[in-house]
Formats: sequence, C-alpha cells, structure tokens
Amino acid sequence: MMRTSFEGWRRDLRVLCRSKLAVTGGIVLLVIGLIAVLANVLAPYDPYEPHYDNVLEAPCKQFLFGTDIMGRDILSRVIHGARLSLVVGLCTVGIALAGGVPAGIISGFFGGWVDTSIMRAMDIILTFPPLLLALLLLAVAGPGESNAIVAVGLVYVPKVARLVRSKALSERNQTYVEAARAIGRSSLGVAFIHVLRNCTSIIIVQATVTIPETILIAAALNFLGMGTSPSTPVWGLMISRGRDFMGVAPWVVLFPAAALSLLVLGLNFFGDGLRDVSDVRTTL
Amino acid sequence: MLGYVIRRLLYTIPMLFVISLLSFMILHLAPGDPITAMLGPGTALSEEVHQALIEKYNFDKSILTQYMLWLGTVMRGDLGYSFSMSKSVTSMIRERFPRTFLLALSSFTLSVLVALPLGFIAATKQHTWIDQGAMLFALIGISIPNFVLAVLLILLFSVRLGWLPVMGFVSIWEEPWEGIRHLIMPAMALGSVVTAIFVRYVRAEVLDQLHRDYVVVARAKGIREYTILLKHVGRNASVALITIWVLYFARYLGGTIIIEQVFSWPGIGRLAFKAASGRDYPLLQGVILVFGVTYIVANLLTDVIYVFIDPRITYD
Repeated sequence: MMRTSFEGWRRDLRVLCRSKLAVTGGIVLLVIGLIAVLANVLAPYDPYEPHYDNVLEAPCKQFLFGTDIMGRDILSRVIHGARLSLVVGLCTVGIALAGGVPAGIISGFFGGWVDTSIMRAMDIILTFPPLLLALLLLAVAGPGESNAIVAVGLVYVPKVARLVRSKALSERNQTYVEAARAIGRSSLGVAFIHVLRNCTSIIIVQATVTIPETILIAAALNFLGMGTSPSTPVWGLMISRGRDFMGVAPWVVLFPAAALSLLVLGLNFFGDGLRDVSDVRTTL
Repeated sequence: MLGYVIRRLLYTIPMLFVISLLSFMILHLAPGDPITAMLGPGTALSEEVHQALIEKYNFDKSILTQYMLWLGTVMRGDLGYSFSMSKSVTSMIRERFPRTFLLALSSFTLSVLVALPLGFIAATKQHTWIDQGAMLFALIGISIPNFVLAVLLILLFSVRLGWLPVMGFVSIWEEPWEGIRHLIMPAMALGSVVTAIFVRYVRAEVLDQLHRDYVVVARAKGIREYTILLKHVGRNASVALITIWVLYFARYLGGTIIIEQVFSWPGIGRLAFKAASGRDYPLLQGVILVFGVTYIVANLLTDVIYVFIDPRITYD
C-alpha cells in the first residue's frame, strides 16, 4: 500500500521507477506536459493563422506536419492541442473528485440509509454509457467548451464515489477512527480528516486511471461537434474535420490521431504502473 | 429456478421506475417550458394554440398526475412525436433498434473470437514473447480511441485500398454480401477497445485458475493438458468473464453513438446523437428509455445464464 508519509512516498517512487511500464508512461507524459507548457515557444506558427497560399500542403521543411484546408500549420495546432487536452483532463477529473470524494466518504463512513440512497442513485447513473450521459447534460445545458468540461466531470462522479465508498467502508472500523472519536472529534471531522487521509492513495490512483477516460469522452464530444468552436485546435475536432480531406491529405488526420493515441497510451501505461505499485483495485 | 427468475424480474422494477422518472424529467429540465422543449426551438405559437397544447399534453396538471399519465402512454408503446424528424419516436426506435443490435452483436462476437484465444494463449505461455506481445497489443488497443480507429480504418481500407465502402448501411437480409461489407469496419472499430480489455481479463482469469488445486489434481490424474484447459479451466473462468462482459455492455451502447455517426449507420446511437445535438427532447426521452431498458435486460440475462453455467450458484 502507498503511505502518505514522506518516507513512504520515497519508497513508492523507487518501486514505481522499477516498473518499465510506469517509467515509459511517465516519460511520455513528461514530454507531452512540457510541450503543453511551452506551447507558445515551441509552436512555429500561430495555430489559428491561415496561410492561404499553402492549403493542404504535405509535410515539408516549412510545415513539418503539413497544413490543413485553411492552410493552418498542423504541427502548431497539435502542440496547442496538447495544452487543451491536459487542461480538459485535469479539470474534468477535478470535478469528478470534487463530487465523488465527499459523496463516497459520507456514504461509506456513515452507512445506513444515507449510504443506500446515495449508492442506488449512483448505480442508476452508472447504467448509462458515459458518452450518452455527457450528451444528455449538454442537451439540457447547451453545447460549449465549459459546459462540456462540467458535463464530462459530472459523468465520472459516480465511479469515483463508488470506489471511495468501498475504501471508506473498510476504514470505518479501524482503531484510529475509535481513537479519534475518543479524543472528541466529531463524526464529520473523523470522516473528512482521518478517513479521507487514509483514502488518498486510492483517490490518486483512481484520478490517474480516470484522466484518460475523461480526455477520450471530451475528445469524442469535440469530434461530434458538441464541444468547442470549430476553429479551436483540439485533437478530436481536427480528426473529425480532417476526414473530408483525408483522401488527398491524410496528414490532416494522422498527426492529431497519433497525438491523442500517444497521450492516452502514456496515461494508461503510467496508470497501470501506479496501480501495480499501490495494489489498489480500480475496477468495480 | 423459476422462482429465482421471477424474483430477479421483480428486482428490476425499482430500476425501471427510476429510469422512467429520469426520462420523464428531461422534458421538465429542458430550458423554457415543456411545450417549447417538445416542439423544438424557434416555433412561434399563438397564445390559444399554446394553451390548447398545454391542456392536450396535461402540462397544467400536477407533476405526479403528469408522470402517471405519461407512464400510461409509454406502457401502451407511445413515446411521443419527434418534431425535428417528423416521425413518431416509437416507429423510429422500432426501425433502428435491430440495426444497432446487429452492429453490437457482430462487434461483440468479433471481440470474443479475438480475445478468448489470445488471452488463453498468453496465459498458458506466461513470460514468453507471445504473452508480452499479446499484452502490448492489448495496451495499444486500449489507447487508440474507437473513433480514431474508425477514421484510420476508413483511410486504409476505403480510401487507400478501396476494399470496403466508406459508410452507409445495407440490409443484411436483402443483400447479404453488401451487408457484411458495410458491417466489417463499424464492428471492428466499435469492439477494439473492449477486445483489448477482454484480452487482459481472460489472461488474468485463466492464470488465476491455472494455480488452483483442481488443476493439479487433474494433471495428477493424467488428464491431457488441453482437456484441462478447455473443459475445466475454461468453464471455471467463464463465470468471472461473463460478469466483466456485461459490465462493458454499456461501453458498446455508448460506442454506437460515435461509431454510427462516423459510418452513417442509421441506428439508435445515431438517433441519440441527433436527439442531443438537435435538442429534440421527446426523442431524447425515448432514447434514454431504450438505453436504460437494454442495459437492465442484459443484466437480467446474465444473471439467468450464470445459473446454467455454474450449478454452485443458487439464489436463496
């Protein structure tokens, strides 16, 4: 198990470094993360700037990844897409945790009818495919970038809640809970200070394995045109729009497709490695 | 046995209730009043017509009465009218459901045909290059999103090689050959991620079973290795595997939304997207019901299938 103390972290890090999967994934993520942070420096062109003389140009020295139908540099768009993807991934998981962790802790720690009612509601939501739920929320709230992020985040609340609940359920009978009660902590205090702290490892692992899923659902929404405005350099939208020209200009589709797959691959590798180290079950 | 099936059927009632409630609420959660939600945005009505519609569809009654009345019409198979498609929701769902079912079933069969042998072989040859290759295949398969794979398949098999049609649907009953040609790519794209996940589960489950005592006993008795694998290990592993396959059933349904859109496959998934993007709330209500009920039925079937596979499972 992962420990929350500093010593424990160092040991876990050493174990993590021994896992080839995690290291490969970690390196991929680090590179993509750097590209995302340095997008403005690294991108050779403005991702929105059209070059009407170089429409659908094949990859060449001037445009390493070629250009799209508007003559926009694909390399620059892929680079800026990395930033947007990571922001979307972090925001959606943040929302999923903000909703799922308190629900899971309360449900698992207090049990009884609170638990039953929260978990039944979550079970019903889990019967629907995530993409359908996200579309449903967007149909009510209207399409748009921030709405899409909130919708995808909300869709993953039940998954997080269920997992945190199972952990909190096993924690509530531990001695430290009794001890904390004995020194006069309130129930809510015990739940959100002590139990929550002991759930950190499972929450971290769950966040890591959820990010690729939310990134994919967000990309799918963009692909369907329910996410951002058409000119935004997000990978899902670039793939979707590029389909019309891929007969004559396959690079329009291939580069964003490769970038999206690579990011998800890196996240999956890293998540798998982390899961092996922490020995946390993340499947329901 | 019969008693169990009846009890299990009763158990679905609360689930069905909540799903119907969710579907009912959509019309009331929609922005504006339910009449605007029903007719679609941009419809200008005179005050009298508006009032008449409110009365016709019972929107002036209490919410509880509305729900009961609505449930009554749904039970009779009337899911309302889609104004954006100018068709009744029930007729559209009836027309499209078999197509989505065909797509999902082909995709599922394909997944099983690939994942079972691959997972089995990987487990029996643990720590060899075959095992590592299968696991790498699985990890890459999980990482390529299904809509990306769909686009790549079209690029390779339609645009470059010209072997398969880019998109569209041909009835498999009327023109079997063309029907299958149109089915191949959507089925592959829909199942790719789940196939990759299945490979890992099959391998893990078979590995787990191979270390059980009964395998040692069977080997000691001199039973041939492949009989042990296929008969004993296979049967024991299947119980856990079926559970997992049902958990991923929702993935298939969700996948159809985007895959049917890419391949212009006129099924339920595409209908769901049209309903959401066009804010067609009556259609959305119908789609929610169909997805929810399909999931419940799938779960029900698995629980019944268990009893046949594993005689140890009795539900009392």
